Amino acid sequence: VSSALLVASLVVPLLIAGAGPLAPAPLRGRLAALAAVPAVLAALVAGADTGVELPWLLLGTELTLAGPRRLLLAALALVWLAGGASASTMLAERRSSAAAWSLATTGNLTVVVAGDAVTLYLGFAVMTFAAVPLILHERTPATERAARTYVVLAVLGEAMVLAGLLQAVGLSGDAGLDAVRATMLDGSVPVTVVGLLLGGFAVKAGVLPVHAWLPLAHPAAPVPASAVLSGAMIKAGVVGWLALVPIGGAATGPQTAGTGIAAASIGAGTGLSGIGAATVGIGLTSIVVGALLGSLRSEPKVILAYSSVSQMGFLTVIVGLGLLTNADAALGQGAVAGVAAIYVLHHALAKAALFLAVGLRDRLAPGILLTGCGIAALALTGAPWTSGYVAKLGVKDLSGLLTEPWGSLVTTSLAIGAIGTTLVMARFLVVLRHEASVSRGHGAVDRRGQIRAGVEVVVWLVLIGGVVLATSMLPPWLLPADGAGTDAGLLAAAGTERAWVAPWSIGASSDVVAALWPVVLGVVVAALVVVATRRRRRPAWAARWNDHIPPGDVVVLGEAGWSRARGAARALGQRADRARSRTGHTLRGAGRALQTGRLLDSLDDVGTRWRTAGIGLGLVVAITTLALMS
Amino acid sequence: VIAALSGPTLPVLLLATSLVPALLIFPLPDRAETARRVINLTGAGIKVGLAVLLAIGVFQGVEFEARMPFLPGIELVLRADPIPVLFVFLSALLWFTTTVYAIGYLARHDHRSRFFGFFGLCVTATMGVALAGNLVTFLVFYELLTITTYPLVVHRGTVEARRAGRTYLTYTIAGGAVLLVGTAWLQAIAGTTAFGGPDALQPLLAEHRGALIAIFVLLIVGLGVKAALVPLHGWLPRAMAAPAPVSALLHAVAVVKAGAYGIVRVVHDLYGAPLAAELGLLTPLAIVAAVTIVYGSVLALAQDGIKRRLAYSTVSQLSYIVLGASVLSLLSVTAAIAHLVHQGIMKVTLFYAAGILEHDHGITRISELDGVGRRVPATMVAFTIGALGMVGLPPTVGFVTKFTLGTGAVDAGAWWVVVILVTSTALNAAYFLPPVARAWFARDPATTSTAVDGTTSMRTRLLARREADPWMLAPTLVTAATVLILGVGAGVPFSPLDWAGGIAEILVAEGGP
Repeated sequence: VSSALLVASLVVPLLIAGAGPLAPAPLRGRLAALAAVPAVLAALVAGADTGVELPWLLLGTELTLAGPRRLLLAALALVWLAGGASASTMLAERRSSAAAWSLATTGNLTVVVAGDAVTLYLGFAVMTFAAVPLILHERTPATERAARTYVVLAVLGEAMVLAGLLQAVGLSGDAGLDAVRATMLDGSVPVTVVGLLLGGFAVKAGVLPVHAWLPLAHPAAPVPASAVLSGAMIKAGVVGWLALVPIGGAATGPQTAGTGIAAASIGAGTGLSGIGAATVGIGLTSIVVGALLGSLRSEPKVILAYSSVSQMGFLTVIVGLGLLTNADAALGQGAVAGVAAIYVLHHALAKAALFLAVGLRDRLAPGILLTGCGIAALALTGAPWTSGYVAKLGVKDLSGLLTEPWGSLVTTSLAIGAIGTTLVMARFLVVLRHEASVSRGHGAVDRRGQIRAGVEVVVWLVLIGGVVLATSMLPPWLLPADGAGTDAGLLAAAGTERAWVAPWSIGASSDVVAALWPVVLGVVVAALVVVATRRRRRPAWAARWNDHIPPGDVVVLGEAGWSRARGAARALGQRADRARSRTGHTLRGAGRALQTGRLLDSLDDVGTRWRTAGIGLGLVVAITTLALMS
Repeated sequence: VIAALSGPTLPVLLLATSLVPALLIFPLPDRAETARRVINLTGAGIKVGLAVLLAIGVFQGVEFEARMPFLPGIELVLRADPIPVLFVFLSALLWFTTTVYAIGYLARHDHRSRFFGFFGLCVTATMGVALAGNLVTFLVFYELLTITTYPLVVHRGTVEARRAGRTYLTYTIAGGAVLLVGTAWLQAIAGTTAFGGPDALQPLLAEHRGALIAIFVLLIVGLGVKAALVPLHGWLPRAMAAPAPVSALLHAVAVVKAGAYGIVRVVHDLYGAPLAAELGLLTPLAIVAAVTIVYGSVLALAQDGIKRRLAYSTVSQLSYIVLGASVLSLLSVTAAIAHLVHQGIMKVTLFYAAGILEHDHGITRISELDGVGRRVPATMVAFTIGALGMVGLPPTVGFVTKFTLGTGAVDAGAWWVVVILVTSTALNAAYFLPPVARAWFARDPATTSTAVDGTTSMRTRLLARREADPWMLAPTLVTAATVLILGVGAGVPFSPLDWAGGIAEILVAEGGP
């Protein structure tokens, strides 16, 4: 039964993706929404030892629920379920979106339960490209720009992942994830490969500086699509990291042994811990920059997108810490994966709830809406009595495994991150309150619409409940008690016992203080800003910085650079055209070639001329004759 | 049944099932549509059946060999080893689908008997190339292929078509001449050009080292013209003036595949990889292949014509085969041989789709694809599958090749192949995703006035305008489905990958150190 459930959790959404678009509109929406149900069941019912091997499928497919996969599967499937409940309108509108929704579900869940590298890549690729129609749903210039940015970055990431996977699997000779990770851990894989995998999955995870697609895609996509993008799909990047990156590998010594590019690109002696340090650094930067950019925007979904960048920074830090730990490899792997999975669960539910709230702003009493969002926002800041508190305790405990400058640096940065998160969330609540007061009353009116809206509200309220309780209820049930291959309890070994404590018994008072003061400080700052900008004359700095940095920040630079480069090429071509009258054809040809790549074309033409062919043939005959005579 | 066909019978029958229909079709008047269809499809159907029997027979170890004297001391040999079986199978299958497609495509054109006659001859030559047991036989059919495809390339008779035909002949005749020189020279010094016995050349190493290198270069240059290795590829994009079924046949099965297949056989079955490696020939060949992969992709980016873009993509994709064959590892040789089939099915799908767009909807340029997905959904689904396969995304066959080739290369220590593969993946995405995106997501200029919204049912739209002749649409969808089925089922016994793995084991074992 367990195996059947596991297979069904992928096959059912796939079948719905295939058959759903042919169904009539209302059914289409409902089917797609239910695509994640078997996965939820599989996560809750099937044991961690459930595994399916399908050697005939693709290059040999393995599915498994070992390690943190049950918890991850539950987290992501719940987001798809909640998002689907709100998506019926959107999915009824467009056939392509309905198919893409279920296909993205399939891909996303495949990434989680994949037991081998090929299946993981399959799920990743399917999800990546199935997300495009969801982002493009509205078919406006904004969605086109968002989709273009997304696809360019995604292909870049996909290419890096492929390059990393080919080398890792090639060296291990076996595509099974356990075998690949073992090869990674024994030091026979160049660090470059680790870097490629980290970087490739980072695009999906939305980490600086490849985060730029997030703030464009989220506001462009419909609300439910944004919810699953931020709640579920970007987590696939983290799942990829956990599955492949040699966490705990620093224990086996820096990996300087390696062929090819490895030695050249990374200085000798740095190896894995160097990459780990860089990962932690990038994660911390993402936390701060994401929070900063988010709090300077006034569109709710852009704020949430930047908040996701910031939160994914925390997960990046967790993985980076895993690369830095000196703990035993298996223990480090188990502990890091457990902490990361709990964080994924927390952020998935909280972020999905916040995005769905944006869609509910015109049909829910502002009081209830803002209270619910307040709870989710507090959870993200890591305030006590929420899932965020539990999740962040895990990160903190993990940093306790580090040698000194790192440990306290991380603790301090976490506090700064919490202040930033508080500011972003405060900004979001202020903006949402304003929008809710403006748009109230434009909601659905007919009876069917009311029922649908009712369902959405109920699902949302359940989700808010989950934001508080999920990290206390699900992990003890769904995480394996013993880490990968160790007898010592996963959490005991890593010192993360406290992550299991229910939020109502909140542990040491020092932890509570540590979790609380950044939030209080953030709230005070936010309140001061609100008071300052409420005055009749807005202060100049508020006018200057509000909405100053466009969504997608670095993309704007990239686009400007691209169009300038094209302009320059065109100008060069035109100048060459003008110069033609003076200097003849050659320069013109060169300028034109620079403009459109015609140089290659014209080179290509050379070979087609009779004379050239004749000369070539003559040469060949001459050489042959000479060779025969010698 | 198989025992009855053993010996010379089956190889000869395989040739006859397209030669006889061709000869029967030539005298038919153009209006004898039904007779031509029956002859064509019967021949193609029987050939598929024979290919199946051949595969089973070879798997059971039955000998299939036909010999006849040709020149003093030289015989024409048709032999069915595991290697030819894969190529025979591919040709038989795609000849069938392409025949069906061509019947629809040419329904309202002139000179149909001439077309199908040469079409049959072309397939006969391809079968000969596939089954050739020595280099001389290979050469004979290789030249025959050149001659029989020329009338197909110039079929339309336009100025452009005739110019394309002239370019085609220039390149291929020159290439054939070079191949002839190489073959003759090898025959002179070795006394044999038989495939399947690399040991024969090993003793010559000490005495004829220089000659062996020169012969190898000559053979590869001669074959490289048809395999479209840069800089010998110029004819291919120009041959796009031919009708779509011909382009499909040229690109997927017959001409270019004869070149790539020939290179694989010369490297692994004539010289043997160890000898070729000892002579220092594999690395240069791999570099040429790598350059071709990148160069073809870059040029494809610059094309607006759909068929021209596909042509440059062929240039690039074919060299995956050459690249895999020139890296010394079991997995990459497997990938090379499997890609003979994989590339064929993907490219034929793309050309079928391009043919439908051109023939029934007048669309020949990428820039005209905006919103076409609504008008021709089935065709564009097929095109999308083919395009994603070319990019190498799972679960298509393109991914199977790329992953096997890449891991095999890493296994052999050739990490730079990964760089080439990833670069090519990114470039493929850059030139295949935009047309797909245009077709599905851009606004169709033709329907903006009527404002087709997403809620009209698919059936009414299909009824409103027939998408394509079913004779053309059916093969397109069948090959598109095959791209997915062979990819998903790559691990099934007797899949192209499995079969190619078996061949690679034989090749590596017989030439092994």
